[in-house]
Amino acid sequence: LSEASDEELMARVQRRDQQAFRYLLDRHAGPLRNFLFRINQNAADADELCQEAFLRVWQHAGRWEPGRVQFNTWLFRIGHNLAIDRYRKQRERSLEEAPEAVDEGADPRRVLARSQTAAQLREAIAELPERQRTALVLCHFQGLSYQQAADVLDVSLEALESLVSRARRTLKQQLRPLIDDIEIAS
Amino acid sequence: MSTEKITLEEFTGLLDRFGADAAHWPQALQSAAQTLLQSSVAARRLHRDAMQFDECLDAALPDLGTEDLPRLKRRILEQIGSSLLENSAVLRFWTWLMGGPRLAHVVLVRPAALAMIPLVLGFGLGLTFPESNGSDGELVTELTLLALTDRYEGYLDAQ
Repeated sequence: LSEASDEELMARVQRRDQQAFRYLLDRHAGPLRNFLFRINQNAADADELCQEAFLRVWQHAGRWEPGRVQFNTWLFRIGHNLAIDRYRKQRERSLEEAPEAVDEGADPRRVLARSQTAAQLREAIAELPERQRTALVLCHFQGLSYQQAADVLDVSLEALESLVSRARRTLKQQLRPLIDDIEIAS
Repeated sequence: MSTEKITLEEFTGLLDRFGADAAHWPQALQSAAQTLLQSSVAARRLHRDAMQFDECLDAALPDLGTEDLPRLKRRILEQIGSSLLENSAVLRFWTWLMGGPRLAHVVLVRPAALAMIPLVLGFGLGLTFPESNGSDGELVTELTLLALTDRYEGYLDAQ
């Protein structure tokens, strides 16, 4: 089973094969959890949403149609929809739990500048319109192809490229002074 | 190899859409972009800025650690296991009722057979009990009780 493709595993899951489900979980739980963390920036929420998404996969396995979309695209779409629901209900987001990316052993001024930049960038990402943020996370962080990301968001390839482009431009604008600080510090 | 050229403005758009990693650039633009990078200082500067921006992005939202992942997976599998247990009896009955893949061409065979049971029971009752002569009222009483309505109360009062 470890050699089986996602499609083969899903066919087994549709027949209620728990072992096949376990393999899918091993392959995709980490990436899905990271994706959910990056779009809502809360680790506890990411865990809950990841759990909920996999339960949906199990409960609604029959709805997945092989050949229509890849399994991970379908999974990310489920996760994304759940995150939107959660986001709409909560509205208030916390950035406190996001881990700090500290470059140990580097120049303290540079570390400080970098950590400030990371924190500000996280805030800026959180403030992006939801679809821009998701598009950026899918393409830049999760390594999905642009076509897969477009499938997750249910938009055309051109629309997806536009979302990523606008997200990057907005962030660059907001980040420009901070990047200059890093350059000065180094 | 493509001989098309791209302008600095188009190169900026490329970086905005796909980032600094050339592996993510569309195949059709790879060659033209690389040519521009080799020939233009401004393009190299834009590319360097884009690389720096990508690094900042990576640092801002790193992967969550994997320490909690096994616990999360275990929780999911436990939940799947319990839902499987809850649903198994219902699921088995449903699978049996719908006949499974072997009876897929006649999907309603078992539901129809199940629906026939009361009818057969009715025939059975009719054949087993003697025909009512309207005088002893025994069968009428029994059938009234079987009707499971509150009419039997009035019927019993009248007795």
